[in-house]
Amino acid sequence: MSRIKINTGSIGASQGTAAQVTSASASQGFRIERIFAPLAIVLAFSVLGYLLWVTLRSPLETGLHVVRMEQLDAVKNADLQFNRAIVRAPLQLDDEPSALLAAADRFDEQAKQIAFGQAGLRGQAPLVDRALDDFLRSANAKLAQIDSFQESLRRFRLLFAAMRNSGVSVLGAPVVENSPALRDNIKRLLRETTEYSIVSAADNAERMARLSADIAVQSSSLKDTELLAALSQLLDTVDGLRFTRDALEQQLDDIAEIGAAGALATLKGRYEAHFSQLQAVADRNRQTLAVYAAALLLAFGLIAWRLRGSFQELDQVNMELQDANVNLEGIVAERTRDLSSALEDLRLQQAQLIQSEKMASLGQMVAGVAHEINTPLGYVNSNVSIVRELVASMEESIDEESRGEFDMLLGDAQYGLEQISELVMSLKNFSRVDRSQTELFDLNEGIETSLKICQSQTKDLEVERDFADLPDINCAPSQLNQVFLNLINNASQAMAGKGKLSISTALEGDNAVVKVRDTGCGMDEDTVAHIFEPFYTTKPVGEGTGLGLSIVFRIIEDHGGQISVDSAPGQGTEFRVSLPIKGKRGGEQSAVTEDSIILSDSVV
Amino acid sequence: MTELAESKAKILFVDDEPRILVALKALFRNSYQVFTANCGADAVALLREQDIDVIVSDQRMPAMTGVEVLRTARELRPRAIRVLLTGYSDLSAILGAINDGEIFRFINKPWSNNELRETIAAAVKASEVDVAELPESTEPELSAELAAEPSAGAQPAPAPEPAPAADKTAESPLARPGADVAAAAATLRNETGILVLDEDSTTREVLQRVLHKDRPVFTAVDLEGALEALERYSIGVIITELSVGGESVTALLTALRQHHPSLVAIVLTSRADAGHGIELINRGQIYRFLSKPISEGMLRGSVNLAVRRFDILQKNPEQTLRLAAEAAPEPESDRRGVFKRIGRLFGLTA
Repeated sequence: MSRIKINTGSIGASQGTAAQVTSASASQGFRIERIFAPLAIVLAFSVLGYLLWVTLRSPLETGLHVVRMEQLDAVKNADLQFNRAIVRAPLQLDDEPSALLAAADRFDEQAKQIAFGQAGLRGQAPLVDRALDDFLRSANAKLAQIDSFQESLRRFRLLFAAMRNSGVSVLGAPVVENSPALRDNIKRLLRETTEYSIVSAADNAERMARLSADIAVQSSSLKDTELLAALSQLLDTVDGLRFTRDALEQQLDDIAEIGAAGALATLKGRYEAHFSQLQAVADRNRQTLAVYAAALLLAFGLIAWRLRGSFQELDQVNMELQDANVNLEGIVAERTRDLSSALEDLRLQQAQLIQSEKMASLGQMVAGVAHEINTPLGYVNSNVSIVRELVASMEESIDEESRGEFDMLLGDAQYGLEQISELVMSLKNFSRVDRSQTELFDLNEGIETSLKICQSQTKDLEVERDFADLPDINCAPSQLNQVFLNLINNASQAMAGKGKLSISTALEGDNAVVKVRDTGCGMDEDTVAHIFEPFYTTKPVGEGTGLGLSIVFRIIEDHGGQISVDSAPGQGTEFRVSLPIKGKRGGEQSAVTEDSIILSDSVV
Repeated sequence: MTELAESKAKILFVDDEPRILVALKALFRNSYQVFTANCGADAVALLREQDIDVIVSDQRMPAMTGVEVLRTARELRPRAIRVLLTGYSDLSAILGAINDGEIFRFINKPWSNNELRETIAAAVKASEVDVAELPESTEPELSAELAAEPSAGAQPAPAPEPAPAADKTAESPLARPGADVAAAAATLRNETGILVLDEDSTTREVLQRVLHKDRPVFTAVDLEGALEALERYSIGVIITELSVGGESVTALLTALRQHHPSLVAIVLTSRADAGHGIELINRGQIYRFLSKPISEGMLRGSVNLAVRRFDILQKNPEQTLRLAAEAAPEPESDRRGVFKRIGRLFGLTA
């Protein structure tokens, strides 16, 4: 048994600890959740911020990119035109190569623009920068070459003019006019030289060398010094022209070798590669951002959906709360009513408990007293009557007078003994200790018994009885005796030993009516209103419990009867008790169950 | 002891108060041979020695209560008439005195000398008839069993198997509850019937169900119905509530005691009370006073004993003298002439 108890105890304890643990973990989880939620939000937003920053940090300058591409195209065009101008420059044998200069300027300008302009390429990426540097270097080199090229060009142009002048003068010489071979050679030389100046073909140069040699051979036969000088000058000029022309060719090759166009193409390629890389990164970032934003949006949507649910719940709860608030007053009032009725019940029960306890101890006391008094009463009474009989029979030894006196005295003794035994009987009847709870009972007898019990209080009063012939009623006699005792007690106390106590019984329809009237001080309305409440008393503290009439009320109610009071200050008081003759049990008798008659053996 | 003394009836008074004994001795020594005992043990010792005719005992005594003394007396001297004389006794003591002690009278202290003289005289007269031996050997067993039961009778006892009458179960009529009793077959006239008199239909049905296996059971809801049943059927035992139709059955039982002395009465009530018990034993000489609820075994045992007693009383009519009740005061309210009718009925038949 004890082991079981211990076990259950320990189980209980372990359950307790388990409960504690779970509650602790729950609170911990709650705390973690509380920390986790803002942390997650902060994290989500910082990730979003980071993604935004990454995306927006290097904005894709699309406009600048277009401008740059245009610039690159423009540089390329300028370069092309420059190149064309350079190539064409030697063909313009007459005047200054202004087109070349303009093209050079424009190229220079465009190159500077792309390097240092607002939409410049510098600072984009190291590779681009390097390509830009290469390009700028080649562009500068090219421009630098242009100066010497121009110088060579100017000399070439001068030499060409000199060649044409000296050729014209040579051809105009009479000797030459006379020698057709020479003249022809000179003309061919001039033509070949002009052709070479323009085309610079290799066979032209050979032919020029051969013609120069022919002319030198043919002129050696001439004696005209002036002509010879002019011829040698022409030949020198032709040589110089040829040389200059070769130098020009050389310079053109050099310029072409600088490779500005290649550098530019590299630059463009690099730039485009760089830009497309930027674009790819930006695209990736944008994509990531979009995906993340979508995920975040989804998460927020979910949270919002759940929040909406929570809010709906909250709304409902709130509404209920408002309702409850509105109804609170009513509920409080109802509770208060319940509580006060419970309190009332409790007080009544307490009163009943006190009363039944009182009655129980009275019963026990009466039982003891009855036995203890009845025993001496028994023999005293017996002895007195024996002695009285003896005295009556002692005619010889006692004189007539004394015998009469003895008889009277013994008669008084017997009377006293009868009184005592009647009182004991009344006490017994009143307490009903040996009687059943409910039985058929004569109300008149009950009132008589109660009057006898109250004899000490009513002895100075005028007591008027007006008893009708009542049938026995089904009731709890001991309780009704209490009622009568209480009413008689109250009446005699109200009269303070002087006045008239009238008790009447009557049959009114199905009810037996008992009226207890006194000529005492009476009660005011307020007192009448409270008189049946438990613990209400008009007596000084300590003299009355205030239970009497509440008990009376409860007993009458339990019997299915009614009690009313009619009183006014100074006019006395009348209590009217009405009890159904058939008793309340009449209705209950049908509720007798088999168990109340026979206990089956198996049960017992 | 003189011859005269020998012929006098022997009366034993038991009381723990010596003055009571003195007073009683003074009262009765002229008429009877008086023995006194100060306690139960002394009384038992005297009972063993002397063939006591009447034993009068107090109830509240140290060591041994009056009921115990009377129960012992019943075993030792079954012929002795038992009287309880007490100043106060509670309900259980009275139930015990009736059911265990099978007392003749219950007298309250203080007593009236004249009434006590009359009672003792009646008791002495009753004691002149020796108790008839019960024909069945089961009796001691049953009485012992009943003696073992607490006096209040509310406690259960092992159900005694009903005596041989059980084979009639099949023929037993199921009497309808109500004033008009069941149509009993003429063949059952020779069998002892039981009359249940109770207002409550459940009680009637339950008792009928429990008891009809052994013998016919008739029911009645009021005194009229009971009288009708008593007229029409052979009834040996009446089981009744304390009051029927607002009237106490005491008057009925008193009248029955006078006119139909062999009828055995059992009172079965939910409202057992000491006053009623005293009245019922003094005026009605009831056999058992049982309170509801009662165990089935207890009820059947009681009814079987009652039937046996009825048989004895039938066979030995002089035995009824042992059960002489107090002369009833003139029925002050013989409503509807019920009691005259009883007189007429049993004056002719019994």
